[in-house]
Amino acid sequence: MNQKARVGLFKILVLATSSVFVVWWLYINIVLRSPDHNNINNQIFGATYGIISLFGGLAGLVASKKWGGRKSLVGRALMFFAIGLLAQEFGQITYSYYTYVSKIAIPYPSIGDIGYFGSVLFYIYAAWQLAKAAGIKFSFKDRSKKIIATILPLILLTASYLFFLRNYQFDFSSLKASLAVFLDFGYPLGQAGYIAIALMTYLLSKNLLGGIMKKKILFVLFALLIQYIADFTFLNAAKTGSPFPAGANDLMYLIAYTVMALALNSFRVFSIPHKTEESAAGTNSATGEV
Amino acid sequence: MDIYSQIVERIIKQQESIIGPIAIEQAEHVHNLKINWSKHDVAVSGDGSKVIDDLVEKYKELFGKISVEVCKEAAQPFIGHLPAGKLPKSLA
Repeated sequence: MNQKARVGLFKILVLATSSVFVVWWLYINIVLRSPDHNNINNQIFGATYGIISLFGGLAGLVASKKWGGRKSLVGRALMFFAIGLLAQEFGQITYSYYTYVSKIAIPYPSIGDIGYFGSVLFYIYAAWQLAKAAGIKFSFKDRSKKIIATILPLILLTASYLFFLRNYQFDFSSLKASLAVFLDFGYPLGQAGYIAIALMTYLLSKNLLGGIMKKKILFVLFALLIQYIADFTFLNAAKTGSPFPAGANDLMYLIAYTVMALALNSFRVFSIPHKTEESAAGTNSATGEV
Repeated sequence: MDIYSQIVERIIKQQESIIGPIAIEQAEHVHNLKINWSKHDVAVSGDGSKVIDDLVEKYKELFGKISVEVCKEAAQPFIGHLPAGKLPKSLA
Protein backbone atom coordinates (compact mmCIF):
# COMPACT_ATOMS: atom_id res chain seq x y z
CA MET A 1 0.00 0.00 0.00
CA ASN A 2 1.50 3.34 -0.97
CA GLN A 3 1.63 6.41 1.23
CA LYS A 4 -1.29 8.14 -0.48
CA ALA A 5 -3.53 5.09 0.11
CA ARG A 6 -2.47 4.87 3.78
CA VAL A 7 -3.28 8.54 4.30
CA GLY A 8 -6.66 8.07 2.59
CA LEU A 9 -7.43 5.04 4.74
CA PHE A 10 -6.56 6.95 7.90
CA LYS A 11 -8.87 9.78 6.81
CA ILE A 12 -11.71 7.26 6.40
CA LEU A 13 -10.93 5.77 9.84
CA VAL A 14 -11.10 9.21 11.49
CA LEU A 15 -14.29 10.21 9.68
CA ALA A 16 -16.01 6.86 10.33
CA THR A 17 -15.09 6.88 14.04
CA SER A 18 -16.23 10.49 14.40
CA SER A 19 -19.51 9.69 12.64
CA VAL A 20 -20.19 6.87 15.10
CA PHE A 21 -19.64 9.29 17.99
CA VAL A 22 -21.87 11.95 16.39
CA VAL A 23 -24.70 9.41 15.95
CA TRP A 24 -24.18 8.27 19.55
CA TRP A 25 -24.27 11.92 20.73
CA LEU A 26 -27.53 12.50 18.83
CA TYR A 27 -28.99 9.31 20.35
CA ILE A 28 -28.09 10.49 23.87
CA ASN A 29 -29.34 14.06 23.39
CA ILE A 30 -32.37 13.56 21.12
CA VAL A 31 -33.67 10.03 21.76
CA LEU A 32 -32.71 9.30 25.39
CA ARG A 33 -32.81 12.87 26.74
CA SER A 34 -32.13 11.62 30.24
CA PRO A 35 -32.53 14.27 32.96
CA ASP A 36 -29.55 12.66 34.68
CA HIS A 37 -26.63 14.11 32.74
CA ASN A 38 -24.20 11.85 34.54
CA ASN A 39 -25.81 8.57 33.53
CA ILE A 40 -23.64 5.75 32.22
CA ASN A 41 -24.27 6.55 28.53
CA ASN A 42 -23.10 10.14 28.94
CA GLN A 43 -20.13 9.05 31.04
CA ILE A 44 -18.90 6.44 28.57
CA PHE A 45 -19.30 8.90 25.68
CA GLY A 46 -17.32 11.53 27.58
CA ALA A 47 -14.58 9.03 28.40
CA THR A 48 -14.10 7.59 24.90
CA TYR A 49 -14.55 10.21 22.16
CA GLY A 50 -11.06 11.54 22.91
CA ILE A 51 -9.73 8.59 20.91
CA ILE A 52 -10.03 10.90 17.89
CA SER A 53 -7.39 13.18 19.41
CA LEU A 54 -5.20 10.12 19.94
CA PHE A 55 -5.57 9.27 16.22
CA GLY A 56 -4.80 12.87 15.28
CA GLY A 57 -1.81 13.03 17.60
CA LEU A 58 -0.26 9.92 16.09
CA ALA A 59 -0.90 11.13 12.52
CA GLY A 60 0.66 14.48 13.43
CA LEU A 61 3.81 12.84 14.79
CA VAL A 62 4.20 10.76 11.61
CA ALA A 63 3.65 13.87 9.46
CA SER A 64 6.11 15.86 11.55
CA LYS A 65 8.86 13.29 10.92
CA LYS A 66 8.37 13.66 7.16
CA TRP A 67 8.83 17.43 7.45
CA GLY A 68 12.05 17.19 9.45
CA GLY A 69 10.59 16.94 12.99
CA ARG A 70 12.08 19.43 15.43
CA LYS A 71 14.69 20.54 12.86
CA SER A 72 12.25 22.49 10.66
CA LEU A 73 9.49 25.04 11.27
CA VAL A 74 6.75 22.93 9.65
CA GLY A 75 8.04 19.79 11.42
CA ARG A 76 7.98 21.54 14.81
CA ALA A 77 4.51 22.99 14.17
CA LEU A 78 3.09 19.56 13.32
CA MET A 79 4.89 17.95 16.26
CA PHE A 80 3.49 20.40 18.80
CA PHE A 81 -0.04 20.33 17.39
CA ALA A 82 0.20 16.52 17.71
CA ILE A 83 1.51 16.75 21.29
CA GLY A 84 -1.33 19.21 22.02
CA LEU A 85 -3.88 16.66 20.83
CA LEU A 86 -2.22 13.90 22.88
CA ALA A 87 -2.23 16.21 25.91
CA GLN A 88 -6.01 16.69 25.48
CA GLU A 89 -6.42 12.91 25.48
CA PHE A 90 -4.27 12.71 28.61
CA GLY A 91 -6.63 15.19 30.27
CA GLN A 92 -9.66 13.15 29.25
CA ILE A 93 -8.18 9.87 30.49
CA THR A 94 -7.27 11.48 33.80
CA TYR A 95 -10.78 12.88 34.25
CA SER A 96 -12.23 9.43 33.48
CA TYR A 97 -9.86 7.91 36.04
CA TYR A 98 -11.25 10.25 38.71
CA THR A 99 -14.81 9.35 37.75
CA TYR A 100 -14.56 5.57 37.27
CA VAL A 101 -11.58 4.40 39.28
CA SER A 102 -11.30 6.88 42.14
CA LYS A 103 -15.08 7.54 42.02
CA ILE A 104 -14.64 11.14 43.15
CA ALA A 105 -15.77 14.49 41.76
CA ILE A 106 -13.09 15.83 39.42
CA PRO A 107 -10.90 18.16 41.49
CA TYR A 108 -9.77 21.55 40.19
CA PRO A 109 -6.94 21.96 39.61
CA SER A 110 -5.95 18.35 39.01
CA ILE A 111 -3.44 16.22 37.09
CA GLY A 112 -5.87 16.47 34.15
CA ASP A 113 -5.13 20.19 33.91
CA ILE A 114 -1.53 19.35 33.05
CA GLY A 115 -2.95 17.86 29.85
CA TYR A 116 -5.61 20.48 29.17
CA PHE A 117 -3.53 23.54 30.02
CA GLY A 118 -0.44 21.93 28.50
CA SER A 119 -2.32 21.55 25.22
CA VAL A 120 -3.03 25.30 25.18
CA LEU A 121 0.70 26.02 25.55
CA PHE A 122 1.61 23.44 22.91
CA TYR A 123 -0.93 24.94 20.50
CA ILE A 124 0.48 28.44 21.07
CA TYR A 125 4.01 27.26 20.27
CA ALA A 126 2.84 25.21 17.26
CA ALA A 127 0.77 28.11 15.88
CA TRP A 128 3.81 30.41 16.22
CA GLN A 129 6.03 27.95 14.32
CA LEU A 130 3.38 27.71 11.59
CA ALA A 131 3.11 31.50 11.45
CA LYS A 132 6.87 31.72 10.90
CA ALA A 133 6.72 29.02 8.20
CA ALA A 134 3.90 30.95 6.53
CA GLY A 135 6.26 33.92 6.33
CA ILE A 136 4.54 36.47 8.57
CA LYS A 137 7.86 38.25 9.06
CA PHE A 138 7.77 39.31 5.40
CA SER A 139 4.42 40.99 6.05
CA PHE A 140 5.94 43.11 8.82
CA LYS A 141 7.59 45.26 6.15
CA ASP A 142 4.09 46.68 5.59
CA ARG A 143 3.28 49.22 8.34
CA SER A 144 -0.48 48.55 8.33
CA LYS A 145 0.17 44.83 8.84
CA LYS A 146 2.54 45.61 11.69
CA ILE A 147 -0.34 47.49 13.32
CA ILE A 148 -2.68 44.50 12.82
CA ALA A 149 -0.06 42.22 14.43
CA THR A 150 0.08 44.49 17.47
CA ILE A 151 -3.61 45.28 17.87
CA LEU A 152 -5.23 41.92 17.12
CA PRO A 153 -3.71 39.98 20.06
CA LEU A 154 -4.45 42.91 22.38
CA ILE A 155 -8.11 42.96 21.30
CA LEU A 156 -8.52 39.20 21.76
CA LEU A 157 -6.76 39.14 25.13
CA THR A 158 -8.83 42.09 26.38
CA ALA A 159 -12.09 40.57 25.10
CA SER A 160 -11.27 37.25 26.78
CA TYR A 161 -10.43 39.03 30.01
CA LEU A 162 -13.66 41.06 29.97
CA PHE A 163 -15.84 38.07 29.07
CA PHE A 164 -14.40 35.49 31.44
CA LEU A 165 -12.50 37.32 34.16
CA ARG A 166 -14.22 40.63 34.89
CA ASN A 167 -15.05 40.93 38.62
CA TYR A 168 -12.87 37.90 39.30
CA GLN A 169 -12.53 37.08 43.00
CA PHE A 170 -8.88 36.34 43.75
CA ASP A 171 -8.09 33.68 46.30
CA PHE A 172 -4.47 33.03 47.22
CA SER A 173 -5.30 31.37 50.55
CA SER A 174 -3.55 28.11 49.65
CA LEU A 175 -1.28 26.66 46.97
CA LYS A 176 -4.26 24.86 45.43
CA ALA A 177 -6.33 28.07 45.36
CA SER A 178 -3.39 29.97 43.85
CA LEU A 179 -3.01 27.31 41.16
CA ALA A 180 -6.72 27.64 40.42
CA VAL A 181 -6.27 31.42 40.00
CA PHE A 182 -3.36 30.80 37.63
CA LEU A 183 -5.44 28.38 35.54
CA ASP A 184 -8.55 30.59 35.63
CA PHE A 185 -6.45 33.25 33.90
CA GLY A 186 -4.26 30.87 31.92
CA TYR A 187 -7.04 29.03 30.08
CA PRO A 188 -8.93 31.98 28.52
CA LEU A 189 -5.85 34.12 27.91
CA GLY A 190 -3.84 31.19 26.53
CA GLN A 191 -6.66 30.23 24.21
CA ALA A 192 -6.93 33.85 23.07
CA GLY A 193 -3.19 33.61 22.42
CA TYR A 194 -3.30 30.71 19.95
CA ILE A 195 -6.35 32.03 18.11
CA ALA A 196 -4.70 35.47 17.86
CA ILE A 197 -1.63 33.87 16.25
CA ALA A 198 -3.85 31.84 13.90
CA LEU A 199 -5.87 34.90 12.80
CA MET A 200 -2.72 36.99 12.48
CA THR A 201 -1.13 34.30 10.30
CA TYR A 202 -4.18 34.26 8.07
CA LEU A 203 -4.49 38.04 7.77
CA LEU A 204 -0.79 38.74 7.30
CA SER A 205 0.13 35.95 4.92
CA LYS A 206 -3.02 35.41 2.84
CA ASN A 207 -1.63 37.43 -0.09
CA LEU A 208 1.85 35.90 0.00
CA LEU A 209 0.96 32.31 0.83
CA GLY A 210 0.33 30.09 -2.17
CA GLY A 211 1.31 26.80 -3.76
CA ILE A 212 0.14 23.40 -2.66
CA MET A 213 0.80 24.19 1.02
CA LYS A 214 -1.72 27.02 1.16
CA LYS A 215 -4.72 24.70 1.56
CA LYS A 216 -2.98 22.60 4.19
CA ILE A 217 -1.98 25.62 6.28
CA LEU A 218 -5.45 27.16 6.00
CA PHE A 219 -6.87 23.78 7.07
CA VAL A 220 -4.79 23.87 10.28
CA LEU A 221 -5.80 27.49 10.94
CA PHE A 222 -9.44 26.47 10.49
CA ALA A 223 -8.88 23.57 12.93
CA LEU A 224 -7.52 26.06 15.47
CA LEU A 225 -10.62 28.21 15.03
CA ILE A 226 -12.88 25.20 15.73
CA GLN A 227 -10.70 24.29 18.73
CA TYR A 228 -11.11 27.84 20.03
CA ILE A 229 -14.90 27.64 19.63
CA ALA A 230 -14.84 24.33 21.57
CA ASP A 231 -12.67 25.83 24.32
CA PHE A 232 -14.89 28.92 24.45
CA THR A 233 -18.04 26.74 24.69
CA PHE A 234 -16.49 24.77 27.54
CA LEU A 235 -15.31 27.83 29.50
CA ASN A 236 -18.66 29.51 29.01
CA ALA A 237 -20.46 26.37 30.27
CA ALA A 238 -18.08 26.28 33.25
CA LYS A 239 -18.82 29.96 33.95
CA THR A 240 -22.59 29.82 33.64
CA GLY A 241 -23.25 26.36 35.02
CA SER A 242 -21.56 23.05 34.86
CA PRO A 243 -20.48 21.34 31.66
CA PHE A 244 -21.62 17.72 31.60
CA PRO A 245 -20.47 14.63 29.70
CA ALA A 246 -21.94 14.26 26.18
CA GLY A 247 -23.15 17.86 26.30
CA ALA A 248 -22.73 20.52 23.61
CA ASN A 249 -19.15 21.10 24.75
CA ASP A 250 -18.17 17.46 24.15
CA LEU A 251 -19.70 17.59 20.65
CA MET A 252 -17.66 20.70 19.91
CA TYR A 253 -14.47 19.01 21.14
CA LEU A 254 -15.27 15.94 19.05
CA ILE A 255 -15.55 18.15 15.95
CA ALA A 256 -12.40 20.07 16.89
CA TYR A 257 -10.34 16.88 17.34
CA THR A 258 -11.67 15.50 14.05
CA VAL A 259 -10.81 18.62 12.05
CA MET A 260 -7.34 18.89 13.60
CA ALA A 261 -6.68 15.15 13.04
CA LEU A 262 -7.64 15.52 9.36
CA ALA A 263 -5.59 18.71 8.99
CA LEU A 264 -2.45 17.06 10.42
CA ASN A 265 -3.05 13.92 8.37
CA SER A 266 -3.13 16.04 5.18
CA PHE A 267 0.56 16.87 5.74
CA ARG A 268 1.52 13.22 5.38
CA VAL A 269 1.23 13.41 1.62
CA PHE A 270 1.49 15.91 -1.18
CA SER A 271 2.11 15.71 -4.89
CA ILE A 272 4.00 18.02 -7.17
CA PRO A 273 4.21 17.23 -10.87
CA HIS A 274 7.94 17.06 -11.56
CA LYS A 275 8.92 17.59 -15.17
CA THR A 276 11.02 14.77 -16.54
CA GLU A 277 13.36 15.15 -19.50
CA GLU A 278 10.49 13.97 -21.71
CA SER A 279 7.89 16.21 -20.12
CA ALA A 280 10.17 19.17 -20.60
CA ALA A 281 9.72 18.37 -24.26
CA GLY A 282 5.96 18.24 -23.61
CA THR A 283 5.39 14.48 -23.70
CA ASN A 284 5.18 13.20 -20.13
CA SER A 285 5.09 14.09 -16.44
CA ALA A 286 5.81 12.31 -13.20
CA THR A 287 4.20 12.85 -9.84
CA GLY A 288 6.40 13.13 -6.79
CA GLU A 289 5.04 12.02 -3.43
CA VAL A 290 6.43 12.46 0.00
CA MET B 1 32.17 26.27 -5.05
CA ASP B 2 31.27 28.86 -7.67
CA ILE B 3 28.93 31.72 -6.79
CA TYR B 4 25.81 29.99 -8.22
CA SER B 5 26.51 26.83 -6.21
CA GLN B 6 26.97 28.93 -3.10
CA ILE B 7 23.62 30.65 -3.69
CA VAL B 8 21.91 27.30 -4.30
CA GLU B 9 23.46 25.81 -1.16
CA ARG B 10 22.29 28.81 0.88
CA ILE B 11 18.76 28.65 -0.56
CA ILE B 12 18.40 24.91 0.11
CA LYS B 13 19.72 25.37 3.65
CA GLN B 14 17.22 28.15 4.33
CA GLN B 15 14.34 26.13 2.87
CA GLU B 16 15.45 23.09 4.87
CA SER B 17 15.01 25.09 8.07
CA ILE B 18 11.37 25.63 7.06
CA ILE B 19 10.29 22.41 5.35
CA GLY B 20 12.97 19.91 6.36
CA PRO B 21 14.13 17.13 4.03
CA ILE B 22 11.47 18.05 1.46
CA ALA B 23 13.69 21.03 0.55
CA ILE B 24 16.40 18.62 -0.61
CA GLU B 25 13.95 16.30 -2.36
CA GLN B 26 12.60 19.24 -4.36
CA ALA B 27 16.10 20.44 -5.27
CA GLU B 28 17.02 16.97 -6.53
CA HIS B 29 14.41 17.41 -9.27
CA VAL B 30 16.12 20.51 -10.68
CA HIS B 31 17.89 19.96 -14.00
CA ASN B 32 21.66 20.66 -14.05
CA LEU B 33 21.87 20.54 -10.26
CA LYS B 34 23.75 17.77 -8.44
CA ILE B 35 23.50 17.55 -4.68
CA ASN B 36 25.24 15.52 -2.01
CA TRP B 37 23.53 17.12 0.94
CA SER B 38 25.18 14.98 3.63
CA LYS B 39 28.41 16.81 2.66
CA HIS B 40 26.57 20.02 1.65
CA ASP B 41 28.12 19.51 -1.78
CA VAL B 42 26.27 21.37 -4.52
CA ALA B 43 27.33 21.43 -8.18
CA VAL B 44 25.62 23.63 -10.74
CA SER B 45 26.25 22.97 -14.42
CA GLY B 46 25.08 24.88 -17.48
CA ASP B 47 23.33 28.21 -17.03
CA GLY B 48 23.59 29.00 -13.29
CA SER B 49 20.89 31.68 -13.43
CA LYS B 50 18.46 29.22 -15.00
CA VAL B 51 19.24 26.58 -12.35
CA ILE B 52 18.50 29.08 -9.58
CA ASP B 53 15.27 30.18 -11.31
CA ASP B 54 14.20 26.52 -11.59
CA LEU B 55 15.04 25.88 -7.93
CA VAL B 56 13.09 28.94 -6.76
CA GLU B 57 10.16 27.82 -8.94
CA LYS B 58 10.20 24.39 -7.22
CA TYR B 59 9.84 26.04 -3.82
CA LYS B 60 7.26 28.47 -5.17
CA GLU B 61 5.09 25.47 -6.09
CA LEU B 62 5.07 24.61 -2.38
CA PHE B 63 4.47 27.93 -0.59
CA GLY B 64 3.90 30.50 -3.31
CA LYS B 65 5.39 34.01 -3.10
CA ILE B 66 6.62 33.40 0.44
CA SER B 67 9.09 30.82 -0.86
CA VAL B 68 10.42 33.39 -3.32
CA GLU B 69 10.90 35.89 -0.49
CA VAL B 70 12.76 33.26 1.56
CA CYS B 71 15.03 32.48 -1.43
CA LYS B 72 15.71 36.18 -2.04
CA GLU B 73 16.63 36.68 1.60
CA ALA B 74 18.91 33.63 1.55
CA ALA B 75 20.69 34.78 -1.62
CA GLN B 76 21.03 38.41 -0.54
CA PRO B 77 24.66 38.22 0.76
CA PHE B 78 25.81 36.79 -2.59
CA ILE B 79 23.94 39.04 -5.01
CA GLY B 80 26.72 41.64 -5.14
CA HIS B 81 29.24 38.97 -6.20
CA LEU B 82 27.31 37.93 -9.30
CA PRO B 83 28.67 39.04 -12.71
CA ALA B 84 26.87 42.12 -14.11
CA GLY B 85 23.60 41.25 -15.81
CA LYS B 86 23.66 37.66 -14.47
CA LEU B 87 21.16 38.08 -11.65
CA PRO B 88 18.55 35.29 -11.83
CA LYS B 89 15.11 36.72 -12.69
CA SER B 90 13.55 35.04 -9.66
CA LEU B 91 15.86 36.91 -7.29
CA ALA B 92 15.40 40.33 -8.88
